[in-house]
Amino acid sequence: MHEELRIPVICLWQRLVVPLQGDITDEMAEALADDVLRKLRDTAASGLVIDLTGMWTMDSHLCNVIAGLALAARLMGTPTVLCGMSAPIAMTLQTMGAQFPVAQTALTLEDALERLGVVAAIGDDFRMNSEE
Amino acid sequence: MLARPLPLDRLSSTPAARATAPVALAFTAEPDIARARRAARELCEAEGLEAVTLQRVVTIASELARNMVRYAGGGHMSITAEPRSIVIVARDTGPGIRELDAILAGRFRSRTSNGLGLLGSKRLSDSFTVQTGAGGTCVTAEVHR
Repeated sequence: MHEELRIPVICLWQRLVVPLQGDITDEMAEALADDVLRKLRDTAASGLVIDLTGMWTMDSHLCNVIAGLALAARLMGTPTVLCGMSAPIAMTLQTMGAQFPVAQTALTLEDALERLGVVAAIGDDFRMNSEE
Repeated sequence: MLARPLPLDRLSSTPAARATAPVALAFTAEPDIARARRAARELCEAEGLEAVTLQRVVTIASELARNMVRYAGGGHMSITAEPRSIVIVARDTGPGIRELDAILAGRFRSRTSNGLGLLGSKRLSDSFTVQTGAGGTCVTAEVHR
């Protein structure tokens, strides 16, 4: 598979964040599941967030891949939170009867990270390097 | 299942309904599934459909395209803007869908699928007919505007 088609898997505070964008082909979805599970093992991350904010459509196959990924992650001891699903996609998946039995859901990426125990602390003394 | 008769008012098209040319696509391989989604989206956007309606049409196109690529070795799809609805026709010359009744009753699952491709498409459609046999399959899905 071409490297440029790979979906990034970002490690933040010992949680993995997977931002899905645009249109995910079946080939990309299957490579994604492999990549994420390998990175979960390598980083020993304590949570997985799948951010759907950038998705414009999702069908039953992609749901199936994500549900399977969440199940495999749980078998490895890692909880999964889905976030950022748009209203039209949510309504369409609900009508189809698609389910994510082992994944939690959250409205935004911030909510998802909080659900996984990340606590935000925003300091007042933040400066850009150039201003120092 | 047989297609129900077309309502008479669908036969007289308005000028607006002719604005977008029907889309005709041929499928053989997996990347064609994404092409079906994009074509469905472009047609729905050109027709100015609501986001939820667009999402339903795109999802049905994706599901039917995948079925043809995976189980029938490819096929043809047309997406047409009718005056009151969007009509998707997916036609292949594959081996037919033997478990059709079980699939549409929600009793079918395989290792590689959650059984929702065809059933989900039916649930998303306002009208849905499947004609299948040893000579192939034709699925017609209609989504009201």
